[in-house]
Amino acid sequence: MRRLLFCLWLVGIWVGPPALAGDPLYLRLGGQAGVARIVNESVTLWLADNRIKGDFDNINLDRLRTRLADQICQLAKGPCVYKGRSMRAAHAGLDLTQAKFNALAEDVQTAMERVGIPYWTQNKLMALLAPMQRDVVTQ
Amino acid sequence: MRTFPTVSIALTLVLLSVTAALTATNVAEVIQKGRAFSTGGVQIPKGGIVRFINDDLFLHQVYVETPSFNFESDEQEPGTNVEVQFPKPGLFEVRCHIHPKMLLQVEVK
Amino acid sequence: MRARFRLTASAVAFATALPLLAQAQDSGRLLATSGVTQIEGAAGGGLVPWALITGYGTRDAIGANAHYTFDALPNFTLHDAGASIGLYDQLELSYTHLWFNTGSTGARLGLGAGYQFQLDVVGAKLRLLGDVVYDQDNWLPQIAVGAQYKASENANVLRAIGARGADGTDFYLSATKLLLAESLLLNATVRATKANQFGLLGFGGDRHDGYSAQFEVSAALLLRRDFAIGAEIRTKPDNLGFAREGTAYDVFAAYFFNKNLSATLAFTALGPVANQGNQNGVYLSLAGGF
Repeated sequence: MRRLLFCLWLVGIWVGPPALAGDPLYLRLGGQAGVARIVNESVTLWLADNRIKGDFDNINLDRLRTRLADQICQLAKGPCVYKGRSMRAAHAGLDLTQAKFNALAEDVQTAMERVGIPYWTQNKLMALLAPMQRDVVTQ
Repeated sequence: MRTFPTVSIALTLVLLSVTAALTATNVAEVIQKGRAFSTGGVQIPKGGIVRFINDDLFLHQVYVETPSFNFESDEQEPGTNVEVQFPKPGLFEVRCHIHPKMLLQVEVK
Repeated sequence: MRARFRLTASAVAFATALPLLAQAQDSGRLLATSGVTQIEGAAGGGLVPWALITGYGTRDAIGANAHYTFDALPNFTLHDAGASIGLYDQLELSYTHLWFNTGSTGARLGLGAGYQFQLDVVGAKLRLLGDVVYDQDNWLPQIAVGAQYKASENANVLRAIGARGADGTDFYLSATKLLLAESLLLNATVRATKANQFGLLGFGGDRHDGYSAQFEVSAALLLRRDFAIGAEIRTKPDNLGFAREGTAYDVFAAYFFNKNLSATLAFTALGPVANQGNQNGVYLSLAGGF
């Protein structure tokens, strides 16, 4: 019995602690500073990802980071208003495939992992980003 | 006796040709498409105008940043135009805040 | 004989198509979204086929998967090996062979020690509606229909135990919903089948012949990007007079090393089999692909 409990404890450590239930997502992501960390790490990963880095050629990255932070903040019910174009308008003409969208999403997951967002909280943000596939993927 | 319509038509034609004569060499059109300018450079006389036509799927914007002349446009939706007048002679670089690789050389005589 | 020819033809078609199809691979789907391989070779949980398409190919590509599964039961041993391809995240084709070894129980059953029941399963699954990953803003599950043609090699024995046929086809409809915000996946499958013990003991029987509707549910909790635990319930028909058959259950843990390799450990409770009492055992499956 004790051995079983010990194994479960090890699995628990490996899996990671659950986030505090009840806090709005924006707080769980770390507020403004947390979102900025996620965005910065995501952009860094995208630029290093051979599958998609070519798509960031000729794009103002500071502007992109600002737009992303506003969008994530708004999605996560934070005190921001995203003033950029719709996802459809912003990505039309980029000929993005499902594979590229997924690569982008994987990198955002990795970014959140690296900045210490618990997995179950990550999924809450991913659930808000996933439906954008319909507007972003045109190829 | 000249009728009113005939007078209006004649007047319009005169005005149009005068405007054309005055502006024909003073306006250079540059198209923004594929996240690039349609040309690498244009030449205009002093006081001339460059008209930027957004024929792209993306937002664009134009700016010039020099000690003698500064210009900053609003964001340009696809299908809209921006006109920039260059009052002083010189060589100016026009760029886009959104797409850092876009570059247009404007030579103002 | 006819069954053998059909199966050989499928296997050959598979083998020739695979190198051509491998050129169009992108491994673009997210980790774990191919599920694991269930006992009859379809993508899903350990026992239940889900609406997911095997492999990691997006709608622009082909994916494939090969698996080997081992289930150690008190009175029997089950081995299961097969391969499947996923075409444009739309159509899944699979082939699996099952070996059900009776060991010393074979002697008790009058079949001889080590007697082996063998089953070929050729499967096809077609997505109809919904997207399990992207439909996070609505209630629509990903829905697929599937068929599993099963052919046994033990016709004589099957006849002797009361089975009406040595081959048969299962038809199923699966609805899979990923509630990503809750890190929870749910699946419900309804199946029309005549198969006894998944088809290992033939099709139809003296107690009941003809199709019956069976119900299968799975729930999985995502604990990490690469690790999920879950549980399944799968009802089975009870067509044979000589031995009762009941509902199968399992609890599983699936680990996805990467998009090329996954391992699943499960505890399976298959219910009574051939009068040998509840068959509860350890199940281990390895799957590899792209």
